Amino acid sequence: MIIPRLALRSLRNRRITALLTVLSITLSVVMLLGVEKIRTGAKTSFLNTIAGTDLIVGARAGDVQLLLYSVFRIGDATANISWQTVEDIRARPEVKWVVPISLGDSHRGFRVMGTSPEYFDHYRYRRNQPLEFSSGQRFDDLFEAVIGHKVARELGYQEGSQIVVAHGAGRVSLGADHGDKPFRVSGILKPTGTPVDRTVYLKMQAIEAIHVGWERGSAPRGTDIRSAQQVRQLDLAPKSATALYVGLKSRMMTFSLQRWVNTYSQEAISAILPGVAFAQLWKILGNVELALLAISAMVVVTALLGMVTSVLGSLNERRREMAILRSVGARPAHIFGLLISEAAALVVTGICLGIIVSFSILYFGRSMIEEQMGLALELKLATALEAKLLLAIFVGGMIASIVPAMRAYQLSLSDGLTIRT
Amino acid sequence: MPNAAAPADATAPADAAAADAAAAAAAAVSIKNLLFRFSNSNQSFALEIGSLTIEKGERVALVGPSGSGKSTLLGLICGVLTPNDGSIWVLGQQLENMSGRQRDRFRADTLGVIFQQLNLLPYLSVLDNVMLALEFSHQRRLSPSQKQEKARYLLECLGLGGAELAAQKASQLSVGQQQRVAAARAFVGTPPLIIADEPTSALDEDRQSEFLDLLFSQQRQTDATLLMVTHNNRLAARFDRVLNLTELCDLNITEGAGA
Repeated sequence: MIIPRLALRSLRNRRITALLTVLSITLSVVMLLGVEKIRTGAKTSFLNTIAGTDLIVGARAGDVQLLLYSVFRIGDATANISWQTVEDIRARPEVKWVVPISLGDSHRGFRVMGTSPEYFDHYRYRRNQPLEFSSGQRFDDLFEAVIGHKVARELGYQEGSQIVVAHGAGRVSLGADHGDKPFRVSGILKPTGTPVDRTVYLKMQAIEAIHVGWERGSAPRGTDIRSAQQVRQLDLAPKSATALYVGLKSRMMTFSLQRWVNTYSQEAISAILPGVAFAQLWKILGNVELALLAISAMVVVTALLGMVTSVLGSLNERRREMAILRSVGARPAHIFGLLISEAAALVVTGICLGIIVSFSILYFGRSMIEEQMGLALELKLATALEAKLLLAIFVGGMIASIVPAMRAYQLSLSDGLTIRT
Repeated sequence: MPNAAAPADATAPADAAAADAAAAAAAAVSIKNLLFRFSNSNQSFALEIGSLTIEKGERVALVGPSGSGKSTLLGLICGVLTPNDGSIWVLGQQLENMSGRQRDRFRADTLGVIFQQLNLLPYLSVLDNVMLALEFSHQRRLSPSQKQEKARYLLECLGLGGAELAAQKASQLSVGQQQRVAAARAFVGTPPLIIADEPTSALDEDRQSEFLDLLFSQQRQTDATLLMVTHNNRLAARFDRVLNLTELCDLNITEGAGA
C-alpha cells in the first residue's frame, strides 16, 4: 500500500510538528483516562466505604445527614439514642448483631469513636473486606485505643504510644481535654481508603469513663474529679449511643425493621439503608466528577482541533506534492486518503502513547495514590467505558481530519498538474 | 464557433467520419474542435484548437508565449482537465468519454510527466521517487525487485548510478540531478507518451542541451512519443516538429472582473 507508506514518510519529514501534535493528543488522552480512572475509583471507593451493614440507626434526621456523621464522621448528630432503645432494637427478631458507635470527642483533629469490640468483626468495606491490623490487636483494657492507618502515620504513633483524647471535635482542644486519662495504643489498622483510616477507636465504656464528672458539659472540678483508677470501679455501662450499625439475619427483613424503627414511639429515631443513602449522596457529588470528565473531553477536542489546524496550515505548501502525485496517476481520492492516513497515524500514536503513559502512572503511582488519597484504583489497561472513550477520540480525530482532507481533495482537483506555490 | 462543424464535415459520408476516428485512434495525440473555458472572479480564459495531431514516436516541441495555454493543453492531454467541447484522443483512448477515475488510471498507465522544477517528493529517497511512477499503475506494476532493478537501470542511464545516490533524500540533490531523477521517473515502466513542461528552464545553457540529449536517448530506446514545452528556440530546433500554440489556436484571455 503506497498511500500509508507515503503518509508515514511525509510525517517523518515534518517530525517536529508531528511530534508536537502527537504529544498534545497523548497528554489529552492521559488526562481523560486519568480523570476517568479517578472518577470510577472514587465512586467505587466511596460506594464501598461500608459493606455488610444492613441498616444504620440514629436520631431522626435526613438520610444523607445520618450517613455523613455515622460513616464519614462529618457533622454531628442532632441527638443521641438512649441505651434502652439500643436494647429494644437488639431484641428484635430480625436483628443478628448491633454495633453501637459514640462520637463527640477528638484527638488532634482526628475523630474519636467509641464502639464495641464486635465493630472489628462486622465492619466491612470494599466488597466485604474485613478490617485488619497492621500491628497489635483490638482494645481489651478500658484505657486502650485502636487507631486508623492515617492517624498512626501522620502523628507517628506506634503500638504502645500514649494518647490523650480532647473533648469536642475541634482540632485545637482549648484546654478542655481528658488529659488525666491517657490511652495506650493497642493496635493499628491497615489502610482501607475509608474514614476508618482517620479514626481513633475506644471502647464504649471508655467514652463513659472519660466523661465521668462532665455531666454538666464542662470539665469536672473539685470533688467531681475522679482519677483513672477510681473510674475503673464505677459502673461504666454505656447510657447512650450516637448511632447503631445493624446486621440482619436476612436481607429480606430490611424494610420491615426499617418501618419498625421509623415508627418507634419511645424516641425519635430513623433507620437508613447505607446503599440508598450513598446513592443519594453520589448524585450530588457525582455531578462534580462528570464536570471534570467533560472538561477533559474538551481538552481532547482542543488537541484534535490543533491537529486539524496544523494540517490545514500545511496544505498550501503541500500543493506541489499533490501535483506530483497527481502527475504519476494518483486520484484525488488518493490525496484524500493520504491526509486521512496521516491524521490516523497521529491520532493512533497519540492514543497508544496515552494508554502507555497513563498505565505506567497507574502502575507505578498506584500505591502512592492509595496511600495519599485513599483511592484504590484498579490496575486495568482499559475498562469498557475507557475503550469507548478511546474509540470516540479516534473516530472524532478521523471526522475532524475530513476537513483538511476534503480541502486537499478539492485543491488537487482544481490545481491538476499546475503547480501553484 | 468552434463547436459548429465545418460545412464539408456536415455533408461528409459516414465512412469518412469513421476513417477520421480510426486515424485519431492511431495517433499518439489527436485533438478536434477543442474548447476549454476557465473563469473565476478576476480572469476568464478560453482555449480553442481546431485540429492537432501528434504521431506515435514523434518528438514535438510546443512553443508559445507565457499564458498562451501551453500548460492548459498539457493538462487536457494528461486528463486532469476536461474540455468543454470537442474531442481529445490520446493513444487510442477518447479522454472526454472517460470518467475522472479512468483518466487517472490511464495517466498512471501510459504517461510520464516532467515538470519545470521541484519534481520530486522531498521526503522520499531518489530511488523511491523514481519507483513512485509505478505505484499507481496496474500495467506498470511490477514486483518490488523488478521495480528496483528498472529504477536503478534508468538512474544509471541518466548518469545517476550508484547505491549511495539512490538512497539519498531527493531534497539533497542539485537542481540538475533532480531533473534527471524526474526524467528517470517519467521513463520508468516505459510509458508510450512523455509530457514535459519546460523541464530545462531551471538548468544552465550547457546542462539544457545535455538534459535534452538524455531525454532523446531514452525516447529512442523506448520509442515513446515526446511532447515538450520549451521557451528555448535552440532546443526546439532539435525536435522533429515545432508546434506554435499561438498559430494553432484562437485564444481569448480577458482579465478583470465582469469579463
